[in-house]
Parts: sequence; structure tokens; C-alpha cells
Amino acid sequence: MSRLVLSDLSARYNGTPVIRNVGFRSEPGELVGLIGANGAGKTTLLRAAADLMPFTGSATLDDRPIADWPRRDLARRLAYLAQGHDAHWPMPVEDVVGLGRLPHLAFLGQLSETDNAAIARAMEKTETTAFAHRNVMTLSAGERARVMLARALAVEAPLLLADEPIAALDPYHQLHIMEVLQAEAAAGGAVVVVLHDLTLAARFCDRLVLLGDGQIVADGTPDMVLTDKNLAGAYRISVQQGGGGETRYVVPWRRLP
Amino acid sequence: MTGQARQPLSYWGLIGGFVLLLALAAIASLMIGTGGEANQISIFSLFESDPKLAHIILFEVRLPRTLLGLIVGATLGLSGAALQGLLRNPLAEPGLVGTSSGAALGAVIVFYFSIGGVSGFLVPFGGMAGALLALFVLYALAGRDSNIMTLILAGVAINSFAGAMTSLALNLAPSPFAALEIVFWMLGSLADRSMEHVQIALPLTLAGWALLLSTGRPLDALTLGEDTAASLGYNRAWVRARVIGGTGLAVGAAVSVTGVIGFVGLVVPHLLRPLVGHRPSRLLLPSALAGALLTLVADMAVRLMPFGPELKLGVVTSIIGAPFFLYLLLRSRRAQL
Amino acid sequence: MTPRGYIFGFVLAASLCPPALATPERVVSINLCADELVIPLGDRNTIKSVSYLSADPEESPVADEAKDLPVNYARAEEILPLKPDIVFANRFSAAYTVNLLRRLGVNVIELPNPTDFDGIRANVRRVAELLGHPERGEAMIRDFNAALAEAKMPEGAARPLAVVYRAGGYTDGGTGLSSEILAHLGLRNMSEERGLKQWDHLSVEQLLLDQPDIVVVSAYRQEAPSEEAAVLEHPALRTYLATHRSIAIPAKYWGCGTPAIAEAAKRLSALLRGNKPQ
Repeated sequence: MSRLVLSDLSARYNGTPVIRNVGFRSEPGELVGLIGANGAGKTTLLRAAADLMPFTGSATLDDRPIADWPRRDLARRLAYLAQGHDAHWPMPVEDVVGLGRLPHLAFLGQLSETDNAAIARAMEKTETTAFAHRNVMTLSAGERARVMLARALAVEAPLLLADEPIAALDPYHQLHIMEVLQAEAAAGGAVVVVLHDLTLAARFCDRLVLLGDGQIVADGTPDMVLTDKNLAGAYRISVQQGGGGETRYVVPWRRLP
Repeated sequence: MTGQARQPLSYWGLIGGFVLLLALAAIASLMIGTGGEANQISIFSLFESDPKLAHIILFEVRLPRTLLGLIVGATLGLSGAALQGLLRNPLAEPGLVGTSSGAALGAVIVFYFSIGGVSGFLVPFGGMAGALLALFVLYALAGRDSNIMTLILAGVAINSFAGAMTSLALNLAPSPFAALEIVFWMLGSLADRSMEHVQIALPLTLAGWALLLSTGRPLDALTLGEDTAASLGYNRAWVRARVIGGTGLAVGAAVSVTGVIGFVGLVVPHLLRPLVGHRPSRLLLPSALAGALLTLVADMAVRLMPFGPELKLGVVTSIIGAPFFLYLLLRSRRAQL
Repeated sequence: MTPRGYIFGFVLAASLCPPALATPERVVSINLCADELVIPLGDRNTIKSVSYLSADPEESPVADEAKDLPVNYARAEEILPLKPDIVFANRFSAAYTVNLLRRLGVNVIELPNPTDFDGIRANVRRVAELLGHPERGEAMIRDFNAALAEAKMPEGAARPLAVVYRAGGYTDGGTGLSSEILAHLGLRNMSEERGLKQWDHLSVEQLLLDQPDIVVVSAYRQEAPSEEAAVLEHPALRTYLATHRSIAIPAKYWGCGTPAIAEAAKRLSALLRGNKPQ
């Protein structure tokens, strides 16, 4: 229903190769964390997977090449949450979230009951219902981040690709959003999220994919991936880690030369 | 509750209000003649005394003027709104992409070499050719580049070049009279245009409007940035093509008949944006209606003014528009401080 | 010629005349240059409107005659109620208005801008004919020719170098009416010798370098400040004018190509004969 498979994928940015021969899968019911240092190619990978940039190699959604999907159908099956949470016009929050329903609207159609319900659900999940009528540009960065996630959730697509959705949030809301994403996966959706917080990645993700220098360094459960060796290689840091399950922690400790 | 019920009523109420005002303005425009407030010919008394003349004045003199005012004003408002949506910048306006100056240059060139004078029907075709050429050059320079900045710079380059060429034409004009005729034409006017001009301008205008009105939803999606808009199913190259192509066609057709009329495309969407909740798609139709309304009102003012030789419409819109624009800028700067 | 010959000639001429020699009842002119011909050549009671510039003495050599005539600003809505039989315009006037009027079936005559004396005569004849008074046209041409003849300098005299300098530094080259006048008066045309054409630009420096014997300045609204007027006020030019023969002739005499240009010729001729120093 929403299986994303990338194989032998390479992509460039401004002529420079960023990711090379990457193989990647995302299955329904899985929350996959995409981690790696700045510049490792995480955003590029996500954008290529969402068909937002040219790439070589293969990317399929439900066994059909991404490029073959009609735009609207693809938009209904794949929700993309970009980095940065830009909002260019001071629109009311509920209108911004409502934009997530655009792929579902009929030609010249208005928002239907179904659409309104989806919008309401998305806002409830992200605890943004309280600012439905507020101007999105007057929100704090954290509040706006939640609104943008609500917009992506409003699409109610089986696959969600989120690029650093918790970067600007306070700890309460970081935990909250990870719970939301986990719930989405538990409900049968496929979720791929780029994040930097290793503890949250370890605690919430079913699977982690570690990207280093444009290539997959490790792909597996958090325990398999978050080894000192991998982290030293990918991030050039040493960590303090321990605990297990709910109490798992991974704390970046020292920079390595 | 997402309160969706609130918006549509006031949106359509807004549209209805503008349509009503526009209808009133159009009727008023048909009843107002040239020559200043003191010299008005009442069309009603004229119908009684000389129906044939009244018919001619109403349908062949005032009607084309009113229709062109509507067409040009709607074009400027609509393309201004679309461009501001595409470029995500409230300061964008139809002249930015170079089609106004391209159209003016095309018209000037035809006029320069023709014997038919500035009203000959070759001139509008020259203008439209100029606008389309400017569009083509714009695409060659910036079409495939996804960077908005490149687009704007390409527009600036085209404006500079077209302006330089027009200045050259003025410089080399065979006599000061010819140069003056060009200058006055470029100031923008609706005076004494005929139904023929309406017919010439209409096809490309309608094509342009169709393209522009189709960009509503993509522009909404663009509020969230280009990547998000693409992920919502909108091919950004196609959206850009529609906005710029539509602007080029409609504005080119308008300019080639009336000369350059400024500020309407900048000021109207700016004013209306808060009334439609800042949604780009909701700005399109109201901007078209309000642009038409503003242009008609300005043209009526031109006709009622007591000056002997009629003021040029482009001059009036600049006189109103420039200080108003300055006021908007200052107000938004103060809001940011 | 014998009386029979006169009768025969008259009948012949009458039969050859185009039928449209009827006098138009309602005449309108929307351009100053056309006014200058229409007002003297037409029947005053048939002239329903003239251009608003015609009564301005700075602009129009027929300002006195135009004083009491209704004026128009070349707008279709002004012209149409007058129901003109004929409207006179000029190549550069109100192009949209001319187009609209023609579209509505109004007879609009666009007079060309003459570049020589024959062109002036042709315009006069044409307007006179269209107004139904060819004889007035001939009379105007006779006066014009006489004025020109009177102004003409005797052959064989020395041929001084002259230049016509208008506001803005515009000059007349080998083409143009003022160069015709200079040639008529036996003067060498400095601009022509420099290879300039009508409306070409002549800088003060170029003028001073060539040291013309006579400078004819065409002045227009000198009280009103403008870039163009400023050129004529140039100190170097003024010094030159103070020490050489020069004359200022109001622009209205040769702004349009009409017989009024003979006045310019007359004044220049008077300067040459020494009647009016400076």
C-alpha cells in the first residue's frame, strides 16, 4: 500500500554528486529514522524519493516507478514535509493546514466534510487546534513546525517523508511529535523521518538508516546501527549510551580528532 | 471545528460587491464624456435630440473606451496578483517580467517605420509581437532555472534593454514631433480607441486570463515553498509557465493598444490581500475586478478634469499609485520595527 | 484672349473640375498647421471649430483671425457633434482620433508636412479646393510668391554663410523649409555644408567653429524655462550673436509649412539689406 524502494540511487546537487548508489526501503507500519552528519545527503535522499529532484537509479512506490505515477495520485500517496517551515503569506493556520487537502480536491471543488474532518484530525494530533484562526506568521518557530506537520498529516497519505520536523521544538513537543509519528506508523502508515537527536532516534524508530558521505553506512535496528564505531565514523564523535527500550539513551559526548 | 463555513460567504460577498461596483462604474463611464466637468454632453438628452449621433457616441466612442478600461484594468490586477503569488513577494507587478516594455518597444518600432501613424492596427500587432518576444527571451534566460532570482534578473535585463532601444528610437526619431508622439503614446491612454482595438486586443487577453485564472491552487501550494508545492502535485515549471505566459499575453495585448499604465497591478493585489485572508488563489478574481474598477475610475477622473488637452491615464495612475505605494512601504516597515 | 476664348476656356475648365467643388458647410480643423490654411481660405461661417492652439499668438500666425472661433482639443466626442463635412488634420495629430473619426465615416484630410515651397503651394491648393474656393488658394499663392520674390536677393552678390539655429540646437540641413529660404536668399547653408539633414542637431561648438556670417535664431517661448531655450542663452552663443549679424525670428512663422514662412524670408531679407541691424 505504500512501499517505497530505492535502489542504486544517485543524485547530484549543482553538479556535485551528493548520494551515490543508495539502496533504501520503507515499509508500511515502520517508523524509519534517517540519520547522518550535515551534508551527508539526508535531505537529498528524501527529495529524490519524493521525486522533487532528478536522480539516476530506481525509485518505486508500490512497485511502480515514481516518475510513472500521475502527479495527483502521487501527491495523495506521498506526503512530504520540507525543512524550514516556510510560510510566505500571513494566512490563518487552518487554511495552511487545509492546503494539505489540495491533492484531494476536485476541479473547482471546495473542502468537503471529509476534508474538514481530516484537517481537524491533523490539528488535534499536533495540538494546534487552539490556533486555528491565528496568523501563521505570528507563531513561534516551534508552533509553526507543528502546524506544518499538521499540514502534512492532513494529506492522510500512506507514506510520510519528514525532513527534520522536530528541529525547532522544545523537549515537550519533540517528544510529542515523535509520539505522533510513531502512532502514524503503528496505524499502518510508512514514515521516514530525518533527525539529529540520537536518543529520540533510538527510542522511537523501528529502524535506523545511517548515511555517511552520500552512502548508506548502516541500516537496521537502532542497536545495530548506533555502535560507537559507526557513530565515530559518521559523526566523528564519541557517545555515552546505555539503557534499553524505553530508557535507551545516546548522548554525544566528545568530538573526535 | 475548522470554521470553513465562514470564509466562502464573505469571499463571494466580496466578489459580488466588486461586480456590483464595477457594473455601476461601467454605466457611469458610459455616461461620462470627455472635456471636463463643465463640458459634459448628457447622453440622455442627446438621444432625444439626435439619436443617430447619440448612438455613435455611445457605442463607438464611449463603449470601446469603457471596455478597454475594463479589459486593461482586469489584466493588470489579475497578472499582478498572479505574479505576486508566484514570486511570493508583494512587490511584484506585471512590468517586472519585461512584457510591458517589450510590448511598448514592439509598438514603437512598428510605429517608427510605418506610415500608418500610432493608431494603425499594425501597431498593436507589433506590440503583441514585442511582448511575446520578450517572453521568449525571458524563457531562454531563466526558463529552466528553478531560481526565482534568475527570473527577476532576466526581467530586469529585458526591461533595461527594451528601455534602451526605445530611447534609441526616440533619439533617432525623424523629428521632434515623431518623438513626442511616441513619448505621449507610452504614457498610456484610453482616449479615442475604437471597437477595432477592443477586437484586436481581446483574443490574446482572454487566452492570458485563462492561463492566469488556472493558477489559483498552485499558487496556494507555493505558499509553503516550491518543494512542498511540488509534493502536493503541482509541476512548478508548468505553474511558472502559466503565470508568466498568461501575463505576457494579456499584458502585451493591453499595452500594445493603450500604452503603459502603471501601478494598478502593484497596488490592487496589495490592497486586497488582507480581505481574502492572504490566500493567493482568492486574490485572483477580486484583483481582476478591482483592477478594472480602479482603471475605470481613474479614466473617468481623466475625462472630468478641466485641463484642455486630456491628461494621460498612465500619468494619473502613477500620480495616485506612487505615493500610495510609498505609504504602503512605510507602513509595513513600521510594522516590522 | 478673345471673349469667345474666355468662354470656351471657362466651360472647359468647369467641365473638367471635379464635382466635389461644392463648398463644405461644416469645416473643422484639429491641428494648428491645418488651421493656418483653413482659417484664411475658408468661409468663416462654415468653420465650426479650430485647434486650441490657433488663437495663441506665441504659436499661431493666424492668432488674430482665430480669436473668436470655437476651439477643440482633437477629441472624437468634441468633433462628432459638430457633424463636420470635412476635418483637417496633420500627419502627427491625434492619430487615434483620426482613426476613430474615419472609422465612423468622417472625411478626414491629413495634410503632409511640406519640405519645400512647392509642397506649401500644393497644400494651399488642396485645402482651397476642398473648401470650394480654389481662387482664394491661388490668391494666397500669388501673395506668397510675391513676398518671396520681394525678399529674393539680387544675383551675383557675395554669398554669406548662414545657419538656422532653433531652440534645442535643432537645425535645418539640406532639406527642410528653412534651408529653402536660405537658398532663396542666396545664402550658403552652414548645416547643409556640414551634411546635416532636417532636425539634426548642431552643437554650439560646431556653430562657433564654422564662423557663419549670419545666424538666424528661431525662438519659441523664451520666457518659459526649458533645456531648449537654455541652448539659445548659451554665453558663447550670445557673445557670437553680439558681434555678428543675427536675427531672431519667432518659431510660429516656420513651425508649419504654410505661406507664413514668407514672413521669415522677409525679415531675413531685411537683415541682409542692412535695414534692420541685429
